Amino acid sequence: MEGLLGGFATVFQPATLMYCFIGVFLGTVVGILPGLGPLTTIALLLPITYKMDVTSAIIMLSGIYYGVAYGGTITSVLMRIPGEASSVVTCLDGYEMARKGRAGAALGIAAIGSFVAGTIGVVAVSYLSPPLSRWVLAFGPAEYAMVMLAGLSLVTYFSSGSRLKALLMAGFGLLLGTVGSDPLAATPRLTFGVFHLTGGIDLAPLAIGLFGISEVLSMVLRKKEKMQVLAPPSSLLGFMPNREEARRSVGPVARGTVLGFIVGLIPGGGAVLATFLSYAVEKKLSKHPEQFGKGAVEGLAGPESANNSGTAGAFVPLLCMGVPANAITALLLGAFMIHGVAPGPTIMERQPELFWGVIASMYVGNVMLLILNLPLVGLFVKILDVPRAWLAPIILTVCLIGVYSTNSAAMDVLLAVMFGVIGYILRRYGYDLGIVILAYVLGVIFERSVRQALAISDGDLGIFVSSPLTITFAVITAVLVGLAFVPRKRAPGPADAAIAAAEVSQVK
Amino acid sequence: MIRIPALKVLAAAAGVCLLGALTAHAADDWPRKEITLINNYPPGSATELTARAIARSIEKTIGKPVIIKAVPGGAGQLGPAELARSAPDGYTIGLVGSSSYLTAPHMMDLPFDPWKSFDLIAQAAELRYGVGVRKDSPIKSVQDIVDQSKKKRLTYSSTSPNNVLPLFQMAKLNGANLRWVTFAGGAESVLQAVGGHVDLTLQSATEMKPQIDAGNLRLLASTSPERWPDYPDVKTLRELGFDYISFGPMGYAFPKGVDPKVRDKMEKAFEIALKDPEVQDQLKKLGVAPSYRTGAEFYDHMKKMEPLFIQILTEAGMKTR
Amino acid sequence: MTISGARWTALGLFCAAAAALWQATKLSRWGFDGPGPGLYPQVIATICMALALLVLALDKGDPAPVATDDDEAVARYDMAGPQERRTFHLYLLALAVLVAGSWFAGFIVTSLAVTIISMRFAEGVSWRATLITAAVIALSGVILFGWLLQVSLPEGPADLAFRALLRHGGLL
Repeated sequence: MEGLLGGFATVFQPATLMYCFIGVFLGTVVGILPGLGPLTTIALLLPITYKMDVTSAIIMLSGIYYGVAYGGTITSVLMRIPGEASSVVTCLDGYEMARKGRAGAALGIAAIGSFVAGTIGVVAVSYLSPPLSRWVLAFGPAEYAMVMLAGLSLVTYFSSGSRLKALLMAGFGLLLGTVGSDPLAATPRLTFGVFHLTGGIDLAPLAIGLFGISEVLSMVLRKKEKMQVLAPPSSLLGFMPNREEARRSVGPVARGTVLGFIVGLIPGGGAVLATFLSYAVEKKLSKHPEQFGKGAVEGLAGPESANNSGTAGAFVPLLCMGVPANAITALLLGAFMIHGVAPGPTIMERQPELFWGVIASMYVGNVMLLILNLPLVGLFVKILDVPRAWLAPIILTVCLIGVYSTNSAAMDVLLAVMFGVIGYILRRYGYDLGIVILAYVLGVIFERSVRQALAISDGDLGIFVSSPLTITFAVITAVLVGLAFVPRKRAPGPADAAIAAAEVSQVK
Repeated sequence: MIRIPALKVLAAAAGVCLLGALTAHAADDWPRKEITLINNYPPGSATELTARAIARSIEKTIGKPVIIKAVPGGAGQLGPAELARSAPDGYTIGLVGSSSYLTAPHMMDLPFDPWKSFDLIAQAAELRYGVGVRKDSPIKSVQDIVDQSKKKRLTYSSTSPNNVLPLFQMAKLNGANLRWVTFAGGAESVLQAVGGHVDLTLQSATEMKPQIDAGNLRLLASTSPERWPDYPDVKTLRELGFDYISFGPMGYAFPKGVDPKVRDKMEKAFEIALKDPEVQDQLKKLGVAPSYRTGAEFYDHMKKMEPLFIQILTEAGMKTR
Repeated sequence: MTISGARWTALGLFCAAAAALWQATKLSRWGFDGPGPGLYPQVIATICMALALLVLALDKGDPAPVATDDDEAVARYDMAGPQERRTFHLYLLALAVLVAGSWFAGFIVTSLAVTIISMRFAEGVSWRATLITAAVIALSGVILFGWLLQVSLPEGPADLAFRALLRHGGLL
């Protein structure tokens, strides 16, 4: 407790708060603009931080981090363009809420949920880091492989529509992840002779294609007059979630926070998995699962919270083990090291002021985000007032810039458009595309872990059921995958009817 | 009637001038924007921190930021593969260590030919390596590795085919039964040994030191030609009677075909960086030995080492390509 | 008997998985130090093929057509009127232009062309408004992203000329 207070003492200084504000502001802008990754932004800003002390520098960087994450939420809700893998789930119900005129509420709940989850996550990091870091040690290749598999099968089990189709999509996500150079031996694979593909398929064309472009295609098939979304409310209070939405969000935020923190501890993809799992859990627990995918507030509140507490959770392996969970925590790690701080098991003894400074800065970053964004929500929502005829070319140009700039390759634009068309067809026939992204993201770690485990055991599959952890995950996987082959009970709720409708053939 | 063609000629001339002005400046106004540096291991790894220290000095020299892009995996060969694929416009450089030249081409099917794909800028540093076990491991000495592995196969974690050579040789020449498990990042690789998922780890000083200091890991030997300055009591493999070393020079390169003027400017910036006492001091803190060579010297050095490596790899039974 | 759209889709996925398997069979399954690069994609592709076959066999589709698709998350082509279908086709054309343009024509020409196709032809906005919007989108893209933020954009003759213009204005 003393440590944390000490941390706050360092953070609560006008200059430091200023840096935090700049960081959050720039981060949000970057998160919204296409083509400017957080890495580029931080790199552009890094020279400024050289002159600062470590704490200020890290506070600014974590401000950018939170800002970018929220910027991604904004584009997901308003345009169905996910900025990163962890905001894919936000697209599902956040965008549908926006279509129903609740964009302000969606953004408000996302900000508040993130704030709550981030806060609790930070507290948990400060008290639970040392014991939790031992938990991380229990994970070897076999454990990683099995937890990924269990996570994937959980998400497919709770997906909308046919579970068989969800499994198929998971398979394709994993396949897409294998395109490019082999993660262990660098051998080019599944490139179909296309040189560009030796670098693999990037997340940008895949996610922007499957989500953004496929939605443009769906959007233009509707009658124009039906496109008009409800006018967003004009007062500040009108952007806040109403009482009903707030009430329904409490549970999801709480559960998302806990789930996100625990799953986020798994280095590499933990926070992404957490968002999908939270969505699945909320849908299972909800009294009206049929609203999911059509603007259910629970489906937004849970995953957004899970994402943020997952990020906090990711700091445990970073600080205590020196293993970064994603690009930004990695940059923070770089910032530590450049100032002569080596994260590792001894960080709390040797650099307590830094450890607590980081914790406190995460907290302040969250508060800053809330202060900055709630008033701006109204401004962001205005974009929905733009008629489709004007919005569509803007979205297409944004997609072009976002996709092209990652690799400066026109091939990526082609890929994005292909995924857009394929994505439209798949959505039309009731395939759940979120799972493709999840499997794609987890695929690389999954394959690597499977192969490392097999290398350790010399090909003996027994290694995947050799410890209590792996056995638990294996049982979960087996049960859930088995259930996918059992047809759902035929007591069609409205959701089932919609799915059935989506599967109607063109035979007339 | 006369005016229109005149206008056309004028417009065409202006267009030609504009385009000419544009192309003529390509090399002279370098750098126009930030430089991307491809690093082959994840953030927090020894090479990344080294790159970061050097990049700060280069930024000062050339006046544009240097962005470090992590491309981990493929036993450290995905980064060079991406570098080889990049446009030689002077805005992408990447780490090319000895592994891409001397070991990996003989063991893996690489999508690039190291001798033909890069314009080397400079050698920057040499990494220090060591072999370690978790604190309660029954393996107490290097000799134990050989003895115990004869009863039961031992596994070791490591990131690059270059630093594991000593263990390859030990397997071949001392009859040890060892299995290499590749990991993308050094910290991750060391953790696998600490967590008991593999028996040994062979990694660079930067990544092993925090765990050694915390008492989770025991350093059995330095696999570099000299002992680690931080643990002067731990002997080298050579001193222990195993004449094998990890060889870890790391350098940087442009993709082949970059403008020579640009390459020279960059080489100069690297020289300034590596002669800067502040950078040298930072590298030493990381457990990395600063060691500067020009691009041409680095190339010749590698070329000179190649026969020796082919011999070692053949002896160790690892030359499969 | 006609094959339903749902089945065509499953068939397409099956073929994609088969193509992936064909690519993966060229790779080794086991190397000197453990599983080779081919093992995992081969297993996954085989599983995908099996699953796609199952979907193909089981997914008959529902015979009862729905009257309206307003509530659905995805708008359906077969439910759309001729006007909407025409718009849809023009947007597909715009996407094709997006790809071809970023390959050959550079950012300015591409964004102009895409905007004109989608606004003027697909949506029927007046020429005047279309051209103004197109110019605003293209210029803000080039100036904000390409120039101020240094995002890399596709380059064509128009982009080069524009950059030269900026340079001669002393702005670059």
